[in-house]
Amino acid sequence: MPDGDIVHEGLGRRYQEAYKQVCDGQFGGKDLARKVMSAVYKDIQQAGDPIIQFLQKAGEQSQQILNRRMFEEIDWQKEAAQIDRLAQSIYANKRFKTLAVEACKEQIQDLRYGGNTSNCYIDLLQKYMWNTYSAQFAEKVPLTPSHYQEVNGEFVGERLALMKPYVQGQLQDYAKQVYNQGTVAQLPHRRSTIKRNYNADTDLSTVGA
Amino acid sequence: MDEIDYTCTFDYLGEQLKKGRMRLTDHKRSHTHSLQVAVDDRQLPFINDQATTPLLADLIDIAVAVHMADRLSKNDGDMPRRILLRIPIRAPEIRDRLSIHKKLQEILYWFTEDHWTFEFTPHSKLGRSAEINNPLPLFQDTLTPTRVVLWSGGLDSFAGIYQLLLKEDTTHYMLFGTGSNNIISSAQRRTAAPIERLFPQRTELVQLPFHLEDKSGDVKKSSYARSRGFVFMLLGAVCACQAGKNTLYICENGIGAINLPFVNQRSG
Repeated sequence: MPDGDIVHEGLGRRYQEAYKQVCDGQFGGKDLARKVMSAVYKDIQQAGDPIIQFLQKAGEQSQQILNRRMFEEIDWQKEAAQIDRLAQSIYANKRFKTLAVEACKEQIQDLRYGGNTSNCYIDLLQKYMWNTYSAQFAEKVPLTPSHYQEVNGEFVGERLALMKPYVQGQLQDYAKQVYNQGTVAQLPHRRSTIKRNYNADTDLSTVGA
Repeated sequence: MDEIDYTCTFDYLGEQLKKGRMRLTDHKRSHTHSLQVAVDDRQLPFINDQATTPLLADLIDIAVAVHMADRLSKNDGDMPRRILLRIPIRAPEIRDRLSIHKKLQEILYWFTEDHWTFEFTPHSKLGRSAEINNPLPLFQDTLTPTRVVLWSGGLDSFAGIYQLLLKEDTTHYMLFGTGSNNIISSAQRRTAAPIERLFPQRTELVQLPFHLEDKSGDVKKSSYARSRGFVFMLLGAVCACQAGKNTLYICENGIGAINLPFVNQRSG
């Protein structure tokens, strides 16, 4: 993308197109989510597997808390400090590591106030991915003096709200994929689209089926 | 995590540039640079006419070495830097205790999110003049209550000390400033002057400047200096100890002083 296509100074290059689509107002929530998620996936892939391995260990810690909290008092500060210690030992992009650590501490807070989850590791993956989306895109979008095509901030806010459930849905799928594969090396699977060739002999009743 | 990006080896830290020397090795580029370093601690207070103890002199060296390493180790995007610091240390209670190494690693990780490793070697050279020469036995006012407060020269410390001076009209304040360049040192002096005019003889500015000279001009510096809060507080603590105090007052915002995190979009 040439420099001329940077329409939002605060956003990374790979988020510019998604931002333009948000401002354009032509696309629905699902398409907007798909566009921005392709950038989120690449960011997460680039941040690498050390963060995923860290989340896996933190997930084990949370799972233990979940099992123990019925029977004993949990030292929540100690648990949070343990997350910091775990994070200190990994060599990974600082920004994304911080987002992962925040995800872990959010989960510990959830557990502290009675929250439940069937799988702490998947939940952590989702939280980390959501934090990435928020920090890289959603929270940065409003930070501009004026929006692309002079649309107002309220309109942009509505568009972000529109795409939010679809973003969450896609993150959920991606988190499950990473959980199963144990790596972010592969981008999410996409549904295959079968191209059909139509010609003069095609039975018209089958078109679009 | 055995790989290292930068090694900073300090031979000696004197109060003059011609005496102090360090070597910076950039392992990725296989370059080693030799630089001159100095720290001038002659202005530190001397309670009971005592010279700087080996332990406090070591803490000054550690603070200055961390500052130099932080400035000279260039960031590679958002990836953490892995820095090895080799420093000659006088006090065996610092040199040989692994718990001290670990604490330093942890606190510097908190400030910088970089990975720091320390190797402390025996200090074999003669110390700085503040360590060797006992000061002149001048009159010392030990009756007036004195507090040591960090003095960055910025608005936070200015407003903070103004409030403190207003609130307690008998306390004397020692304003502790440091700085790696003349602009900062001069700003500290400039902002201390009106405080002295407003509250005559209630404050005293003590500065501990340190210098770095790269004659080759080849070394690129990092502009972040994320360790500055650690360096400032450690040197301030040394000043407080030298003044016989066990409390250091800090009138700075939490983000700058103790590295409180920003909001999500500024994380990392």
